Amino acid sequence: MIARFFRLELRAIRGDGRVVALVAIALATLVVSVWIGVDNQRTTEQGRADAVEVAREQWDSIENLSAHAVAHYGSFVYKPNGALAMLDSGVMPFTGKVLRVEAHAQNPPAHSDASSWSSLVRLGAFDAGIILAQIIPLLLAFTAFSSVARDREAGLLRMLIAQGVSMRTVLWGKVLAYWSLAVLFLATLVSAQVLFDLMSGGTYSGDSLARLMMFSGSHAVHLLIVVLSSVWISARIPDARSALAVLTIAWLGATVLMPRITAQLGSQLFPLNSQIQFEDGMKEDRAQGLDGHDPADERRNELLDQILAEHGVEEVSDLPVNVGGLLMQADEDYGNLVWDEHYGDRHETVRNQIGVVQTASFLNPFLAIRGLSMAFAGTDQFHDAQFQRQAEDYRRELVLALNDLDAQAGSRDEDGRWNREEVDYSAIADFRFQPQTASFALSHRWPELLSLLLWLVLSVALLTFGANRIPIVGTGR
Amino acid sequence: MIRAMNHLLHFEWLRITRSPMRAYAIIVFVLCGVYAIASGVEHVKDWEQTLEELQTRESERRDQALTWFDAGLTGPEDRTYIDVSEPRWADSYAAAYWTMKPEPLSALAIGLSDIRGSWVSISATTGSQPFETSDPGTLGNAEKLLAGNFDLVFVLAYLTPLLLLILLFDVGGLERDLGMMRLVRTQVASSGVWMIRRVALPVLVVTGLVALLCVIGGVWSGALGSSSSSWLIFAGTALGYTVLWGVLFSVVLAGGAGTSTAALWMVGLWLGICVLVPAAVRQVVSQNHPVLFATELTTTLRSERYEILLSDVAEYEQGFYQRRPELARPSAASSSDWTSGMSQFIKQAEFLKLVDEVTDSLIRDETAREAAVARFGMINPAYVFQRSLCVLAGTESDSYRAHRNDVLSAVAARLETLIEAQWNERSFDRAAFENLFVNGASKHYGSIEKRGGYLNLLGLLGGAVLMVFLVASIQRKRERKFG
Repeated sequence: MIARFFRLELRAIRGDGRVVALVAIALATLVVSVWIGVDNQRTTEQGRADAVEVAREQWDSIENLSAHAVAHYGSFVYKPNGALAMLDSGVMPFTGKVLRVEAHAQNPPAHSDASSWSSLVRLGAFDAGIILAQIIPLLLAFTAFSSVARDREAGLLRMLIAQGVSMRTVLWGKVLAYWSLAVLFLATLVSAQVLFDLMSGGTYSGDSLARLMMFSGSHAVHLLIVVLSSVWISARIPDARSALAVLTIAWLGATVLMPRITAQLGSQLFPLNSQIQFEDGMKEDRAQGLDGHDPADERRNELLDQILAEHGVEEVSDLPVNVGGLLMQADEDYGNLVWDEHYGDRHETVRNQIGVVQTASFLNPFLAIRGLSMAFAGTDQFHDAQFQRQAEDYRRELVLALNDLDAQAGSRDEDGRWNREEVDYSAIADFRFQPQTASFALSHRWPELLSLLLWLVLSVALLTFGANRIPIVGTGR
Repeated sequence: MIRAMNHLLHFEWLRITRSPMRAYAIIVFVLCGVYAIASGVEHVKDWEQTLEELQTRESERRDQALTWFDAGLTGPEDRTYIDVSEPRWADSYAAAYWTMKPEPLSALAIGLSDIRGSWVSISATTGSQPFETSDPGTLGNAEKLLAGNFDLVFVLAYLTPLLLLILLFDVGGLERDLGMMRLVRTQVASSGVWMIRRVALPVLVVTGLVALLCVIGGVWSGALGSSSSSWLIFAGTALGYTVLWGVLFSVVLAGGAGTSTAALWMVGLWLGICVLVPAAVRQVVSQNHPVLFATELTTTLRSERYEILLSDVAEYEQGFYQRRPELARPSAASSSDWTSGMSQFIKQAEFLKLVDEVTDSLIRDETAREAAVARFGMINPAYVFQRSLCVLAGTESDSYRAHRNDVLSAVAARLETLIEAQWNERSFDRAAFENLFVNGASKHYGSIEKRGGYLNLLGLLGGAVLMVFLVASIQRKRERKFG
């Protein structure tokens, strides 16, 4: 019986010229946007490959520089786009994608896309994540708002009930019809994306496929929740105009107002220090010690005494190593502790801010799908922080290798002067980003996943158990 | 006629006030507006606090250096190699800041101020350059930036059309749904005038609410008192934008559709103008003007800088002296200290010349990207509106470009002061050291949007008015023919 109503509703949708035109325009727009998106992704990837090559050439052409000078010269690392970043760009346009790694300084990534755009960057993006989470629900609401009210106002609903059809059957028939429309959008969008990507040379690993499935699955569940709620509102509210108004306000509240308000609330509950305070705090701790009683000069002198004692000599000029390299590395090690503490605190605060949004997702499934969509595409804050973490690890390895060379590669002449050897720096490898697995995304986004499942259970229960309370006669005009 | 109009206005007033859905929509709109203003004011407070912290940082450093001058010292007692009377060290310790001061209107139009840095330290020898400040998104919560601003401009650009939609979507359509349109036509002299009057009140109500929010915002942020002419342009643009949406929705209503079709069209229009067109324009322009990895800049800042530092100064001397005819080329007998000091500055000048060139090239790219976006201005009114208000508030990209140029000029001015001092072997005394701080400044960057932006909005308004008449006339003919 449900299948019969499903077919009937689909026929009604097909027969509505406005809806067909809207769906056709939306699908065509989606396919074109996907095509442009894939093209942009390729351009960015090529740009990154070119940038890496240029940085490598510059590194390989280093001549006549000591290892310490090379540590200052440093290198650049470039943030890669994940395989699914084109599905949902997430926070990527707002975070830096170029990071200079060098001795003594732990630079944050710079040169984000947003830093080169006008305020147009604030008016939304055109990727699958936004379209599926924000635009398609609105289209669904505007096609489903009269699904039950229309039948009720025409007297059809009363007749069906009189003939022994259960309200539940009618509602589920409608839900499945509108959800199949939603799945059509989802399937078109995702398959066009994958197809264009494969055609332009993209590849998908097992993890990417798992992420793709989770991305599609979570959006399918969210769209089902949207359809269930729209049909429920259409059924529960006596006239179609009021149902339309309620759905519009609900959409506005869920997708436009609440995300902004909860993000703002998060930053008010867990405020971050200003950049100045943050920088000054790090500088102070590096100079005076994390406990404020271990100044850099004292640390340095203690270490020098220790090195001299270890080698059983009294003068630096008698040491078989270049003490500069050892002292520099000790300073780096201390700087790393300071970085870990300050950035750790900062990341914890940001994590708490995101936690507020995650909690609010139990009130609003849009917040849940936004988090999940970005996470499965590998473009949320947690994935972005991994780039910074890995770049910092690379910096530490690079500076350690160069300080070791500075300390060891050379010999002392009869006058006690340290003579550096010629060193080939081209053996030092470039930065390689290790992408996170899908389980990383799940481990950080389980609250949203739970929220989405709870919303699904709630909306199914509402439609199943609340069907008997739905008015079958309109209020009249 | 006046009585008929009064009746209509009275009817519309009752329709708005007696519909709980419409009353709630109005209340939600006003609350959102007030919240947006409060959150904008809070943002500006944070911005001002950052500038105060910089001020403190600058004065602490300055006071520390001044105590050395007063005590006859050259620097910190445990760093004997530091001599603040030498140009190089004086530059390092006189690290002034060039900052962007928020306009009072910045509280109403946050624009890019939470995405881009608003201060740069001015120094000619420590590698200062206009891209120094890191992206706030990287150090903060980028998901908050992604969620977007909640400022008054957002409320006006996004929510005003939605409020109009809720107040207007069944004007005329309801009469058609109920089969009363013929009755209306027989009772009014002109159905066109009837329609205009019916649309006028909701548009007036929304215009009044927008004006109220502009006044609240103006008083709260202080813009009404301290920059009233900018506030007037702000409010005028907001009111014009509201009227534009009233006319755009009138095109739909003139089409004579039923309630649900009209609602569908209006939402489509809102979605198109406020969401899809800006996103599509961004995507299309990205294709032709991609933002890549700033290789040009990073090459200058590292590779080319090192190349200059490691090269023989003779390579740059000729160009250096040609650009500064007031400095005669030195004789071969100059002291080695003087030569070494000058060499440093000659190389530094060469490096800053490259930074100037690369900044120029990046700014050209940015301007070309924005020119490409501006070409879509007629179909992108939400962005044009947002942009014109952000330009007024000094939070649009133009302001940041002007800031970068000012930073470069300040660094260049500082360098010339240092070169002059080095050339004349003049050491910095207390007064000369303090003078170096004139290179820093705090400046407002608000301006008035170029005429092109407003012309786009006016052009669209004119086009929409024509469309109303055209669509209404087609509809009238059709209704005369088919009843």
